[in-house]
Amino acid sequence: MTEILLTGSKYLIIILFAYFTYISFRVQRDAPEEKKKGSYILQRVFLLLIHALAYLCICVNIIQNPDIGLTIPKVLGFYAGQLVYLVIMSILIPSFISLSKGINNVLCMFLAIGFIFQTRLDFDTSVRQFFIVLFGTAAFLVFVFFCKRAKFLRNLTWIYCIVGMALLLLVLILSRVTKGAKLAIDLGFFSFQPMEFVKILFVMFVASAFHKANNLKTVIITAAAAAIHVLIVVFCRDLGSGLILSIIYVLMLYVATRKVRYLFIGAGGFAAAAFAAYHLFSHVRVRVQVWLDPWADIDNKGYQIAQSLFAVGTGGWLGSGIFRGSPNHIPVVSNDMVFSAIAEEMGAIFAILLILLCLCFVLMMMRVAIRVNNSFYKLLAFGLGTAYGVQVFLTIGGAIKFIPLTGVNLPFISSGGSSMLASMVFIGIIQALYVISEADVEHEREMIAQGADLADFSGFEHIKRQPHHQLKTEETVDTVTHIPAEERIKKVDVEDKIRHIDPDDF
Amino acid sequence: MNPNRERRKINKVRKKISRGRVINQDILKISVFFCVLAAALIVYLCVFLTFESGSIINNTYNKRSESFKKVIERGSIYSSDGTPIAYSENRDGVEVRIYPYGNIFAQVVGYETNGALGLEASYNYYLLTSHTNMFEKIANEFKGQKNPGDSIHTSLDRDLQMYISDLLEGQKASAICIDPTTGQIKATVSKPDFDPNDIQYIWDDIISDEENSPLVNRATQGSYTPGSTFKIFTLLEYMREHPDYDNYYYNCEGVLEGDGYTMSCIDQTAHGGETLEDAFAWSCNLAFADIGLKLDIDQFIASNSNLLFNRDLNVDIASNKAIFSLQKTDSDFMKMQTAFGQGKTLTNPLHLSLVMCAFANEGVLMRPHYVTKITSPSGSVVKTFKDKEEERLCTSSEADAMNRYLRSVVTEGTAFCMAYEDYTAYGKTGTAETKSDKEQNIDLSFFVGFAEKDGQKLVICVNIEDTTRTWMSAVDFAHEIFNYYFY
Repeated sequence: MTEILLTGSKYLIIILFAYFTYISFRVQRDAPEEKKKGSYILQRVFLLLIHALAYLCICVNIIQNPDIGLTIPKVLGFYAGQLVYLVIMSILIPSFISLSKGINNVLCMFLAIGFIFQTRLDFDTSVRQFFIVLFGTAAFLVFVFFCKRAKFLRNLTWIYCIVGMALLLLVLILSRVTKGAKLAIDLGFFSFQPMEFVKILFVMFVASAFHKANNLKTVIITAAAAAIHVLIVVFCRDLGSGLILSIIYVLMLYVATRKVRYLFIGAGGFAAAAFAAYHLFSHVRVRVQVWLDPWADIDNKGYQIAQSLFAVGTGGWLGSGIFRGSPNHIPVVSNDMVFSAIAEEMGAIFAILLILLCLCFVLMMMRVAIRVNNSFYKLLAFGLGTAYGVQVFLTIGGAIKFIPLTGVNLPFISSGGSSMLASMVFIGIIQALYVISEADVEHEREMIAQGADLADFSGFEHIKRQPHHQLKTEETVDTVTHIPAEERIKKVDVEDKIRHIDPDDF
Repeated sequence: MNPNRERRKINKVRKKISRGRVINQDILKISVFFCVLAAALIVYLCVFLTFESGSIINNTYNKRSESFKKVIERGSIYSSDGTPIAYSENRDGVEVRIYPYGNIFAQVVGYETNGALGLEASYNYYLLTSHTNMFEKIANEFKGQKNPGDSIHTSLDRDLQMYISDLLEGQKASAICIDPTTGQIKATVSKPDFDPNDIQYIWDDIISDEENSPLVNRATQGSYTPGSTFKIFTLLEYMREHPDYDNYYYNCEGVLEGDGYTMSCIDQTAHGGETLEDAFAWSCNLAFADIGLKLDIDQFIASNSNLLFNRDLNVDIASNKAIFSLQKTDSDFMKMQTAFGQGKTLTNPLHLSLVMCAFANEGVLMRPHYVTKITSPSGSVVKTFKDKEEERLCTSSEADAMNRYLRSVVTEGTAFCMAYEDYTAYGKTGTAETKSDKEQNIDLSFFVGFAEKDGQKLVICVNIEDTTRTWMSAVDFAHEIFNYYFY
């Protein structure tokens, strides 16, 4: 009987999660919010159902197997706390504050998966983690309100840069080496990892620098600042973060300047840096060798990745069920390797859906970046989305041996206080940008209704109303005919306007 | 207004307008890039799970097999004629592993409790994987019943294995039989052995029994001085370096005294004047010592590496590498000793028989294997392990020349007992002098060779570790086995 319950829940969770992921992609379509209302409600129902089913499995396993060392009241109490939080976060907050319900629902799903797996892996840490999430949610709300009002944020270029570097230097000087890298400053009650916040500061710095100007001078100055950031991080031996910072910079540089050559220069520089790092640092060599052949030194260096592959492989497509696998054989499982634990117990199908949901999250941020008008906000949303995407790729790719291990974690799901706080701040900024982008889109819509011309939708709101007959050149025509689907202006309208332009005006 | 200024202004505006839009295009491009990354992760994960994970998670470092055992009833192991040689039975709700032939397949089939050994160890994952259909699986899961595991089918010839096991009973010995045309291993016996049915009760006794070490599969994991069987390698190398090898001539006086050493043939027999073929057939140590000094050691090392020395033998149960460690800088004495099979060289019956397989199959070694296919509980084939070429060890003309020499060992040399049988036998005998733990001189006896009759071929390697226990030498045992197999 209990087996029926456990097996049924396992399959039901996978089915619900698959549908949840599908809806998450679907709500990104261009349709009025009213039409998506049903989808949002369905998402929340599925979210709470999955959470409840998972805790049901946990409870059944606790009763069956007293060795787990948890008691039902303790777990149920914790579950109730989480339930209240998830209801407030997914239902109440969006109905009082304007924010993207799609992003918010996916965020809640990540948090719920995080709760479930942290509870399963280590109960005491998970309680701590829960309180950090509460604290992070407060920070999230502050940023949602603050960012959409604070226009001065775009002018603080050098403050971001200096604060970021100062934090990194602090780590370099104060912290001790743990897990082969200098990561955290010990504050006694809390081990603070500034790197998580530096990523956000760095994105803000690059975005504001390119908002002011995108000439060669800016490129050189920002490149130098980025290089200093990365160098300090490399001195801390935190290669994963160094990699994330460099990728963020190169991609933002490309988008800001629209010059493909920077991508090639970036790729070339990356190859050179990788080559140099491989020959200079023994720990880089070790990581690469372990990646190429973890079995050669399975007792020592290859142990973690080997155990991770065992977990993923043993779990198979459908997973062993919660508490039925042995993810605790993997070192640092609750942090860097949480993906393997999920794949083992929930199955590879669930894991693949999780990858898709992470991709969906990235696309949601990119959508905000596309819809927002101001170039600072555009770059900010793009940079944060990139940071998230790259980090997820490095974690998951590392856990399944697609790429060498880099020691970064899965945002919102892995354990770790600083990372959770920084992630909540980051999603707060994204939500604020979403609100701004909605206002921009609404503004455009009104303008179109009033018969406004092209220049109003330039993406740069400070350039206003040039008489449209002045805009005719081949390049403009070329650009406007290639409007991405996200653009609000109907192509027909644009063509209409172009027809009005008389070439003899020039 | 100045038209130039006007145009510059327009251009500037135009640029900024297009920029906002094109930035969006670039963001879209990067979004596509992230889609590609996610797709790559998913494809990799699927490929990993479909093709690689099976062999990867079947690793002793994976401590999860306990959790498999909870949901899957271990599959059976079958001999070549389809008789189960290991299967699981549910006795009062407890799964019991049964080995109906007791000690006969002891080391090769192995056991699965107290760690694991043999095929039970190397095919653990397959035996604990169930290819029952999805619906039955889900039904079983709901009923709380175990799924039946997949079965493995081996090439082990039950009758041959039983015969050899009886033949070698009481010896400290091992034997391995391989079909050289397919690479299928027909029998593997190692004595002393144990009864895997009782493994839990006798465990403490057998792991403390260092005198007999019954858990060691001597045929694949032994490390023995090859003795005269090593002359095969010396001979082949000499042929490769000296195309005029037929002109070789040596006059053996039985004893050779050099700089502070004395070397002799067995029983100090003086073989007299002899050709290369005579020297090989009579197993003349002094002639081969002489050949050893004429070899290019670097080339010898390279050739021996090609002949599977210092390499994994790639068979599907645990095996040890054969070791060849002669250096160019070693003394002449060491080179001479090594050339006729003493020295630091180590081998095992599996290694010798694989080299013999290549000679018996025109120089090509077929992949040696025990398991031919894996079937699901309903009998459908899940996976077949096809016979395939592993690698070429020598050219077919080299194999022909070797066979001529190996045949002369039977027709006029040390394996004369097989000369007048209905089958055509080829081979090389060997005796190695080693010291036991108690510093006693003991003789190791080796025979490696093959026989053919009506297109059927069988490679045999027999090793008698302690010849004091029997009046028969390895070649006599091999003779008996050939007789059994071909009559």
